[in-house]
Amino acid sequence: MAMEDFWLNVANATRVRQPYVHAPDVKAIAREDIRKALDENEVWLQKRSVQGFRKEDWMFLGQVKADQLEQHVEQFTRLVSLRHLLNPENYREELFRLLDSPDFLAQNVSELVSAQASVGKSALDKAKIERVMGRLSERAKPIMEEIIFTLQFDRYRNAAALRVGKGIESRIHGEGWPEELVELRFQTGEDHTGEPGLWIWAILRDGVTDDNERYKSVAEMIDELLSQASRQEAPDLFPFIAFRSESESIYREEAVA
Amino acid sequence: MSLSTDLLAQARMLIALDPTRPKQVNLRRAISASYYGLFHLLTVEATSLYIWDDADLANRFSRAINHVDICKVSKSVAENILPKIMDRWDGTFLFPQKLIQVAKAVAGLQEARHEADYNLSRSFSRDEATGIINMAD
Repeated sequence: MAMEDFWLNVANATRVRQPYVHAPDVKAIAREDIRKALDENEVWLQKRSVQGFRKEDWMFLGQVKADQLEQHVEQFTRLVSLRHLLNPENYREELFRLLDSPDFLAQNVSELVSAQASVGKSALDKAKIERVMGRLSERAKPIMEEIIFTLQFDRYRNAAALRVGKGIESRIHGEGWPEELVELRFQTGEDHTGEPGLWIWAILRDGVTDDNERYKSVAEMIDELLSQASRQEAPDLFPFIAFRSESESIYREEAVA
Repeated sequence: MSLSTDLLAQARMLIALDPTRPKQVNLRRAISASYYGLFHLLTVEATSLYIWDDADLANRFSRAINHVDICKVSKSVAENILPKIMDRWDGTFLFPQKLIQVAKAVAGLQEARHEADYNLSRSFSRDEATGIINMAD
């Protein structure tokens, strides 16, 4: 469950997931969207946002990406811990001294805590604290941005979908990614009979569906590739595969009354 | 024209309406019609295997085939999982590819039909609906 916990904590705290939007309708999440979401609130600036992370859960991303994710989670945790220490209850002279130091961010949390324990009760300059807290938030922002970008909420709609989807994509790349296929979107859950299912939306290049015979043959080929890959990657999930075109509106296409 | 062929034709007609901006209601009905086209084809074919000389009994027989059971069987065939009684015969048995395709279509269409008829929080695109109808074809 730790993987799901971490995924949900990031998703809930950062609010970029568009949780009630159907997978193929989700607007692609660009870095700009992430920055905007992080600017809009500070709920994500707490340790809880990345709770549940265990590197071993993320090895399916590959060693390098799992290492990077671990590093980002550690850096983020350190920064929000420092930020937490700056709350008014933790005013300490020694902390004030550390804040004056240009490289105070390099200090680790344990040093701050021990310093805090050894000093008196005089209050810090409030404005200065706010400035420093702001700096810490700015430092944490690009780190959280990287974490969100790794999780790709727009393409993998839940934690299990991310794990299975990455595996399937890797297998498709191994077989030779079809030129007609732009991207895949994944979601896991229960189907209408209550059995576990995997929903895959294959987004096709424009023009492929113009001629229905061509559409049928391309769909059949991609369906077979995806079915095989999903059988190997997630044999316990029945795959439901659907197709859309790249330029089809991601929003509902209703005729104007 | 049989009912199943008519339903499929109706599905094609519905998705061809509104050439520029398809209405969700037409796409949803098209998906539903395509599932029922395939469902009725299968029930008629299955019934004719057992009953060919009693129309009343044939009707009763085909009404006894329910959606959940047909979906479960279809998923097993699509995944090449044999019922236990058949599994004992030969561990290497594989369903014919054409049958697997039909089974995948039944399971996929039934799920799509359920979404189209009951899940108002999602949308369908014309190409998505066309792809679903193609499965029934």
